[in-house]
This record gives sequence, C-alpha cells and structure tokens, in this order.
Amino acid sequence: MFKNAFMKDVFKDIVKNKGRFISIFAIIALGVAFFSGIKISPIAMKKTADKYYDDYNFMDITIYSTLGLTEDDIKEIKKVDGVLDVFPTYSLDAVIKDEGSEKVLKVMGIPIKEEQKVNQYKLMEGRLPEKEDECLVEEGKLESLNLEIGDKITLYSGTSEDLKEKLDIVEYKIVGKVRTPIYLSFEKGSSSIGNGKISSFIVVPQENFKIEAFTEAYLTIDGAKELNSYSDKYFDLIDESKILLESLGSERADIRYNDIIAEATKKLNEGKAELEEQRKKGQEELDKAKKEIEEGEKKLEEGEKELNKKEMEFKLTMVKAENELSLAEYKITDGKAALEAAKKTLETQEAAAESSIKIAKETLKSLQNNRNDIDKRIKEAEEAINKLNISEEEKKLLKAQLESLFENRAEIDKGIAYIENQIKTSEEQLEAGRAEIAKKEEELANGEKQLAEKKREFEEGKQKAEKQFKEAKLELENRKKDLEKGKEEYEKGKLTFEKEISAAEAKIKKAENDIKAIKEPSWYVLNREEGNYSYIDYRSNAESIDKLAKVFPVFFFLVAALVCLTSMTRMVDEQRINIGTLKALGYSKGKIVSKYLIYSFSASFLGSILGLAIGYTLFPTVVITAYGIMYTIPGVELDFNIPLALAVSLVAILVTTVSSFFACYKELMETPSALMRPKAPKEGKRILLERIGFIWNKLSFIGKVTVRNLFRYKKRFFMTVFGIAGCTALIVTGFGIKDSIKTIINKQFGELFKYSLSVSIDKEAGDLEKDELLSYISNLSAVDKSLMVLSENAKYKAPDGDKDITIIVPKSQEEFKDFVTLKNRKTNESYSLNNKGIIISEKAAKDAKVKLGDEVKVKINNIEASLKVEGIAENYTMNYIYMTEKYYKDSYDLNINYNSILVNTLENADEEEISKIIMENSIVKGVSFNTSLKENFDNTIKNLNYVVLILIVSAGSLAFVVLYNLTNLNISERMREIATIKVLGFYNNEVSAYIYRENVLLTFIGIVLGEFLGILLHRFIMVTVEMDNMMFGRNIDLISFIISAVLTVAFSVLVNIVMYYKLKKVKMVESLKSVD
Amino acid sequence: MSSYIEFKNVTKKYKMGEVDIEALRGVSFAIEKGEFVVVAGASGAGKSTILNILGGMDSPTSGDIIVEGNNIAKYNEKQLTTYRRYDIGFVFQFYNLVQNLTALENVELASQISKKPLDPAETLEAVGLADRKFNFPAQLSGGEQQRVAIARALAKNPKLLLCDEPTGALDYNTGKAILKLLQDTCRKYNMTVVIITHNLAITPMGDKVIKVKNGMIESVTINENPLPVERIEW
Repeated sequence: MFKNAFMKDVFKDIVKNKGRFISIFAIIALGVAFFSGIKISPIAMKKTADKYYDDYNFMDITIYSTLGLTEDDIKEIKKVDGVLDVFPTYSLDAVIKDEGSEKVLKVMGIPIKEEQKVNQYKLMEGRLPEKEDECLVEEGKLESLNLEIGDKITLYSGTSEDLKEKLDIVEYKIVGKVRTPIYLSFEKGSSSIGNGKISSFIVVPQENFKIEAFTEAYLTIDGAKELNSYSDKYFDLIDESKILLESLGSERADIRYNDIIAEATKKLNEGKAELEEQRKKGQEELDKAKKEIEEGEKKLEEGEKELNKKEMEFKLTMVKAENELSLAEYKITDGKAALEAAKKTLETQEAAAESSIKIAKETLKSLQNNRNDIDKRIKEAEEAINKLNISEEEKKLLKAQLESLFENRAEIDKGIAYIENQIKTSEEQLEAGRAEIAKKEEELANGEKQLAEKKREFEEGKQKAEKQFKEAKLELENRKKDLEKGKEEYEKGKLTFEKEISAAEAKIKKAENDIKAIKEPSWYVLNREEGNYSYIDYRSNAESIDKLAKVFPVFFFLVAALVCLTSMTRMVDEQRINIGTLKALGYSKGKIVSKYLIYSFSASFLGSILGLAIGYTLFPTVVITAYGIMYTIPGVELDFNIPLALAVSLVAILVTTVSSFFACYKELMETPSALMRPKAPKEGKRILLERIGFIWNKLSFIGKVTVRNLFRYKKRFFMTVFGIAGCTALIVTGFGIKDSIKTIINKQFGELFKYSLSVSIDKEAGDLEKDELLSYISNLSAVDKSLMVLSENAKYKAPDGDKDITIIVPKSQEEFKDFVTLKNRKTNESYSLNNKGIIISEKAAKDAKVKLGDEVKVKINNIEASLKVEGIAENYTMNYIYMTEKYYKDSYDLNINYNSILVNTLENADEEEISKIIMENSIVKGVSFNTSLKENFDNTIKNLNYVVLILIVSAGSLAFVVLYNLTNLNISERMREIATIKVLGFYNNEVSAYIYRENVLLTFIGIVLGEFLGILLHRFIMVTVEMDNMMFGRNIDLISFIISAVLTVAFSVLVNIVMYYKLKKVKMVESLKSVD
Repeated sequence: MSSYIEFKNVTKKYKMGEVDIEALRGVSFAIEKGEFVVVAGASGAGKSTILNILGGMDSPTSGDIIVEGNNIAKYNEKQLTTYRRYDIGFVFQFYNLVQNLTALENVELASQISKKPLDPAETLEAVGLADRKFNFPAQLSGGEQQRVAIARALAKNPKLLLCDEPTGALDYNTGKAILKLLQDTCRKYNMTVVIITHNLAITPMGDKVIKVKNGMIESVTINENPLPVERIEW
C-alpha cells in the first residue's frame, strides 16, 4: 500500500513537472542519439558495404600475375585449400567516342556460357548478355555515359593497334545496365590511353577476348562470406588462403618465367636480325647517296677550277688589251696634244701670218694706193706733158718726174709684186699649214674613231665575256646550292636514320634489358584492402567518422550531467517539505532517495531508448545517404549493435542517477523539521563590481539587479555560459571544417601547384626523345610553359614508422617557381632550391619531427640518405621533398632519369584535347589533371556540408535544451520574485526583460568563450581526422565566426520566445500563496 | 452617493480538474475613500479571493467591481496590469521582497514604475528604517522586512493599499507595530487601506468591518469610533 501511494507520488511528479522530465529526457536522448549515432554509423556503413559484397559474391582475393595467368595456373589455384570459387577473366582499357569526346572505358568480361560465380554484377535495368555482340554498361550517377538500352557502342583501342587483335568483336548492343561491387566509388583509376582517366566500365562476353593469358583471377574463400569484411577475423581467414596462394604463385611463376623468356628471346632475336637488315639496307643507301654527293662535289670543284682558270685567262687578255688600248689612247692623246700644239703654233703663225698678211695687204693697199696715186700722177704728168703749153723745162721736169714716177711705179710694182708674192706665199704656207693640220686632224679623227671602235669592241667583248662568266658562275652557284641542299637532306636523312636506328637500338636494348629485367613473374595475391581502391576509400571515410565520435559525445554527456544535476537539485528543493514530511513519517533516507532515482532513471532510460532509436536509424541513414553521392551502395543496412547500446545507455543512466543522488544527498542530511521550513533564500550579497563606484553608479537599476543575479547563482552562470559556448563552438567547428578543407583546394591547386597537367613519361626513353617531347609540348598553342622533372617515390623515417613521400627534382631550378610555389605557411618566407639541402612539405616535417636545419632520413629503393632540411613548405595534399639535381646526385649517387613533365596550360585550354594530343606520343605513359583532383575534393566538401549541417542541428538542439532548461530553472527558482513584480504592476514584457537581461549577458559571454573553444575544438578535429598524406588548413574564415554568433543568438532568441509565454502564464496568486 | 469602491454581485469559480470550486458566490459591498477596512473570516472563506480581485490579480467570473468609477471586472490583462501599477499597493503575508536587492532598492523597484511615486528613501524613513536602507532582506528581521514591504507599497503612491494577513508571520508586538503603521498611514495620507485577517480581535480598529463566510458577505459593520490599535489586546 505504501508502495502504491509512493509510486503514485513518483508518477504524479513526472506528470506535474513535465518540463523538467522532458528536459532531462531530451538531453539524454540527444546525447545518446549523437554518441550512438556517430559510433554506429561507421559500423552500419561497413555492414552495408559488406552486405553488398556478400550479395554479389565480391572477390575476397584477386590474383594478378606480372605475366598473366594460364589455364594451368587457374587449375592449380582451384586446388588450393580454402578456395571456394575462382573466376579467371580478362580486362583491358578501350576508348569510345561519346558525343564528340573520347572516353576511356575499362572493358571487363562476363561469361555467357556459364554462370559467373564471383564479382557478380547487379542488374539495374535490362538483362544480361546472351549473344556475343551484347554488352552491359554502368548504371551510375556521375560518370555514366549517355547511353540507353538498345544503343550500339563501338570500342577503339586508343592506340595505333587495332583493337580487334585483342577483342573479337568491337561493336556491341547494350542490353542492360549494371553496378558492380568492384567500383564502390566513382574513382575508376587511370589508364595509359585516351585522356588517361577511366570514365566508366563496360562488360562484354568473356569469350570475345583474344588475349593469351588471363589478366586476373578473382577468388572467393570458403567461410568468408559469413564474416564481416572489415573485421580482423575476416582478414585472418583470408590470410590463410593467401599464404597458400602466394607459395603456389612462386611455383607457377618459375614455369611461366621460363616459357616467357624463351618466347621473348626468340622474338628479340628476330627483331635484332630485322634491325640488322634494316640497318644494312639503310646504311647502303646512305653510302650510295654519300658517294653521289661526293662525286657531285668533285665535279663542282673541277667546274669551279675550270671557270677560275678561264676567268684568269680572260682577265689576263683583258689586261693586255686594256694596256694596248691605254697605249693607243695615250698615243692619241699625245697626237692630240701635238696637234693642239701644232694648231696653236699654226694659230700663232696664222695670226702672225694674218697680221703680216694684213700688214702686207695694207701695205699692198697703200702701195696700190700709192700706185694709184702714182698712176694718177703719171697720168697727170702725162697729161701734163701732153699739154701743149708747157715749157720744156717743164717737160723735162715733168719727164723727170714721170721717170721717177715710173721708177716709183716700178718700185711699187716690184714692191707690190713682192708683197703679193709674199702674201701668196704666206697664204700658201698658211694653206699648207692648214691643210697639214686638217690632214693631221683627219688622221687623228680617224685614229680616234678607230680607237673608239676598238674600245667599243673591247667593251662589248668584255661585257659579253663577263656575262658569260656571270652566268657560268651563277650556274655554278646554283649547282652548289643544289649540292648543299642535297647535302642537307643527306644529313637530315642520316640524322633520321641514325635516330631511328638509335631508337630502334634503344628499343632493342630496352627489350634486352626488359628481358633481363623480367624478374620471375610474381603473383600478386591481393585481399580486398590491397586490391580494391574503393574498399579502402570507403573504409577510411567510415573510420574518420569514428574518430569524430571521440570528441563530441563527451561534450554532450558533460552538459547532460550538469543539466541533470541542476534540474534534480531544483526538484529536490521544491520538494523539501515533502521530503521533510516523508522523513517525519518515518520513510528511510534510502526510500526517499529512491524516489528521485526512479524519476531520473526513468527519464534517462526513456531518453536512452529514444536516443538509441534515433541514433541507430537516423544517423547512419543520413550519413550513408550523404556518402551515397560518392559511392554506389545500394540500400542502407542498419546495425543494432547491442553491446554499444547497452554501454551508452548505461553511461547515460548512470550520469543522470548519480547526479540526482548528489543533488538529493545534501537535502537528506537535514533534519525533518528544517526541511519543512521554507528554505532560506540565497542571500543577496554585495558583489565585487559594486566597489567600483563609477561603473556601478552608471548602471541602471535593472542593470544592477541583473548583474547581482548573475553572480548570485554561480552554478547557473557557469552552466549557461558553457552551454552557449558549446553551441557556438560546435557551429564554429562545423563551418571551420568546411573552411579548412576549402583552403586545401584553393591553395593547393592554384597557389601552390600552379601547373595544371602532369605528364608521366617512360623514364627509360632516350634523352633525345624526352627533349623532343618537351619542346613539342611547349609549342602547343594551349600550353604556356612546361618543365621536365623527376618524380620518385620514396620513404622517410618518422618516429612511428616509415612513411611515403614523393621526391621532386626539377630540371631547371629557376623555372620551377612557375610551376610550384615553395613557401613557409607561417612566416610566408619563399624558398628556392639550392644545393645544400631539401625543401620538405609541412606535414611530413611534422610527422618526422624535423625542423629547419635538421636532417631527415629518406630511402629511395632501399638506398638511404640523410637530407638536410633547408625549408619547410606549405602543402596540403600528399607529401613532397624538393631538391636540385646536384643534391640528388650527391646524396644518392644515382643518375637522374626524368620521368615527368609539368605543364602550365593557358586559361580556357581544353584539357581533354591537350591530353589526347600529348598521349599520342609514344613515350607518354599517362596524363593527369589537377582539375580532376580538384573535383574530387569539391565532392568531399559537398559531403562535408552534411556534416556541418548535423553539427549545427545538434548545436542548436544543445543550445535550446540547455537554455530552456536553465531558463526554466531560473523562473522556477524565482517564481515568487517574478510573481511579486507582476503584482507590483510590471507589464509582461518588462517581466520578461527582467529575466532576459541575464540571459542576454550570459549568451554574450558564452558566445565569446565559444568562439575560442571553437578554434580549439576545430584544431583538435582537424589534427585527428587528418590522414597521413593530407594536411587540412588550420584557418577559419571570419564569416564563420560571425555566422556562429548569429546562429547562437538565434537559438537563444527562440528559447526566450518560448519562455515569454511561460512567464506570461505565471499566476501571481498561486506563486505567492502563503504557507497556510 | 457612489462609493469609492463597489463590489456588485461578484462571483468567482475555479475549476480544479473535474471539481468546480465556488470561491465567491455573489459578493457585494462598498468602501469609501480613506476608510480603514478589515476583512475578516475563517480560513478558506474567500477573503483572499476578494483581495486578489480587488487588487487586479484575478478576474471575477461574473459581477462588477467599480473602483473610482471604473469597472475593473471588464479589464483585460494589460489594463489590469496598468491598474495594479498605478492604483494598487500590495502587502503580502510573507513580505516577498527581492532577496538580491537592498531595502532601498526593493522600494525603488516599485517607485520606478509609478507615475507619481514618493521618494523611496523618505518612505523608508517614514516606516522607521532610515538606517537599514542598505541592508539585504536576509539581514533584516521579520518586522523590518514587512516594513520594507509596506514602504514599497506606499512608495507607489497608490489609491488603494491592500494587505493580506500582514501580521501573520510576525509576533504579537511586532504585529501591533505594523498595524499601527498601517493605521497611521491611512489617517495621515487619507489612503484607503484594506486588511485581511482571520484574527477577529483587531476588527475594532477598522472603520468598516466586512465579515466573509463561505464565499458570501456575512455582515458589513461600520465602526463609528474605531480604536487605535495600541489599545487593543489579544
């Protein structure tokens, strides 16, 4: 009976104080849900994958042989202990043309004549192939081709080979769409054809493959299906068979080796023989050509010589003729001069003669005049004589006169005759002289004419000869040019020949080396984690969620404990009188405590149940669905792990009940009478701030009340602040995770790695070919720059084991900075490579625990060297060591065989096109884009959005529950106070504000604290969740902090709104009831 | 002449689960301005209910309550709050002071929201607690606390001072002192004071005595010559 009333009391308590019960219930449910959800999600994920694997008989072991597997090999495999089914098959890469672009497909086989027991395909649409020209394609979300059932698809080899050499039929009709457990994720690996990346797969009838040996064999192991493929037990079972298979492998390997070596050597010899033939033939032709050229040269030489000789002769003749001409000219000139002289003389003579003649003529004239005179006189005289009247004397005189006149006249006549003679002579002389000169002139003129004539002839002759020489020379020149060209071609031909021979020789040498290097084939016996990328990928995702489980739940439980503690304390406070009464009635302490224990037990028990229900169903479903974007997992398999459930519930219940116990304990120690008196309210006290007069006096009245209250209820103060801080911290962490991962993408593939493509080339190829490829690539229009580097896998020593790292040695140090930025993340100091040491990426430096100046041990192929750290570079994905050629050679004494080319493309370059063009070169083994790496990360970020969302939702719920609870407590504790001020006439909003002010202040303090906690929490998570070859950014964007604060405020506002209605309902009358 | 306060056939019914409780079953009376009214009756008679309704803390189920011409029975929540704010001063049996505030601040709490408050310090002085202004309630005795409560009510300068068993938690002498204070306040400020008590011995001090029984008014007596409380012994 008393039990019944007692239990009724408990139930009534629950019903009456729904709020309190629900808040404990809720926070336990939340904590349990979260913890169990996070812990079970990885388990559910693995279970889901395992079921998928089991349903389709996913292989437990894959066997590859470096030289293929023969039918005999398969027979032997089947005999090994533990092997259940064996599926030997072929696979190869092929290319299809999908809407203009080339895509690489992995071609896998499906037997149509018998059932496929291992790696079955899950048929999503259509049917399996029945005829040999039917095929299946991938049904997937991201990379599937735009093909439908009924479409025809044609495969190409992607190289210069004909695909028909490997595959009987290359044109297929699609009859179905499938998924396969081999490819959980969308990453299908790389290829050496097409653009280097496998886009999807296609399944064709196995019987069509014409390849000599099976490329792989898939096995299932007896008893493995029943085990969870992610468990240790599973791997142990597999290992048993694995060991047996490996030893079988070495046996078979020998046999195969010998067969192959024989085959290969035969082929090599054939090849060698052919090369010799070709070489001989080629050499012959070259020699012939050479000889022709030599003859041609000789002829040319002779021709030149002839020409020179003739030229010489000609010149000589010319010179001679010129000399003669000169002489003639000289003579003429001389003659001319003489003539001139003569002329001059003549002129003077002429002049003289002229003047003499003139004088003579004048004299003559005068003489004649005289004569005339005389004649006249004579006449006169005669007349006079004849006159009659003259005296004799006069006659005598006149006769004497006449005589003298006749004498004179005779003199004059003599004179005249003399002068006339003189004149005549002179004139004759003059004439003669003139005639002489004229003659001489004529002679000269003739002579000149002749000379001119001769000259002209000479010139003509010269010109003609010269023209002839020119022509001859020109022709000689042309012939020379032709010969030069011929020589050039010969040289080129020779070069090509030599190159080809050298390449062929290199190939033969390579083949020889290859044959030599053909180690005994090994069988690669791989279990799921060694042989299947998506298996590992999926698992690591699952496990990183597990890591998160270490942090959050602890947090939640702490808060849950606090909430319980305060709630139960409050409850016990309220029920003091009841307790006192019960005690007075004689109920033992134990009985009384049990009431509260039952209360809290039921709250936490129910909470755990709800929490488990949500945690085991909602969380895994959300997580798996979120990851479903990246993986093709059908369906969600939930796991109801009992031990985990029990453990979590136990902890939750313990936390609650123990808190209750502690809450009660104090009260129970008091005497019944003390209990039945109202509890002395907590004293008001002066707080420290009051002593700071000038601040205190500035506060408003209500402000003082608020501040005093804050410090009065210290427990509540801390709880609220931590609850809010937790909420803010969670949101900051959530956004921070996103920010940090975003950083990797933007910084790594943009700032740090400036190159967009990386071309891997055959490192055994000749230097000539490599350089050619480099310049070919550099000259592509879409390429900005390119650089040859060595990229080599190595291992560095870290305290917890050897870890992988990639060594990069660029061919040119100055150019390297255009491709990779090396700088220190913290100091921003930029590095350039020098010969004194290496630059190592930050994560590796941290794992190896080395700093600047230290030495780190790095092994290449088992050759170890101590490398000095000259710089620690910011880097987020994978780990790298950068060094110079010289340092590499000095440290390892190895030759550098460059095997990669880094390429910077121009913006808007078509990467598919470029890689296709580059892949056409024979020494190129593959092309990888940084953009596709970037894309992968982008997808990861999208998934992280879910994580962030979960965090925010939980943060919000946490904040809500904590705040609600605390505000509830706050109101309950101060019911009287609130009622009093209501009575005093405070309006509803004033009443709310009275309470809210404290909440606002606490929220503010909580947010500030939370931002700091968030940074710490974020850092912790980043470091924990980071994988070996990745470093997450450590930054959180400013906007994240702001959003966190805003969201937290939003949550608390939500709570306050709910509270407002509660405050409104506080009944003054009830609250102030007298203890009557 | 219409009275200062009038109750007209006021009923109050509570629903407690399936049970209906009739706290008041048709209460009518009148109170004049400046009267010192004593409402007496046995426990559970309905006295507190009348005071609560008069003080605007509760609404009647039916009936009218006219206070200075306003029918507060029809008031909505906000109007009631305003009514309480400016017109009512309440004194509780258990003082109900805010523990976190000093005596002076407790009074300020009330004076801050009134239209024409009295000076808090002066009010405290008036009740004789001039040198206890800066003490917290925990540091005051019961009587001192009650006096602070009264000062708080007075500081509001209300029309009506309502006291629910003001001396219930106090000893004989202290109780008397409190009653005296109330009586003096009533006379000095001409304030209408209504006191609830189950102690019939003090009914002579009131100008009017309203006896309540079973949710109804049993009698309304007017004392022509109310006794000063010092003269009453019980």
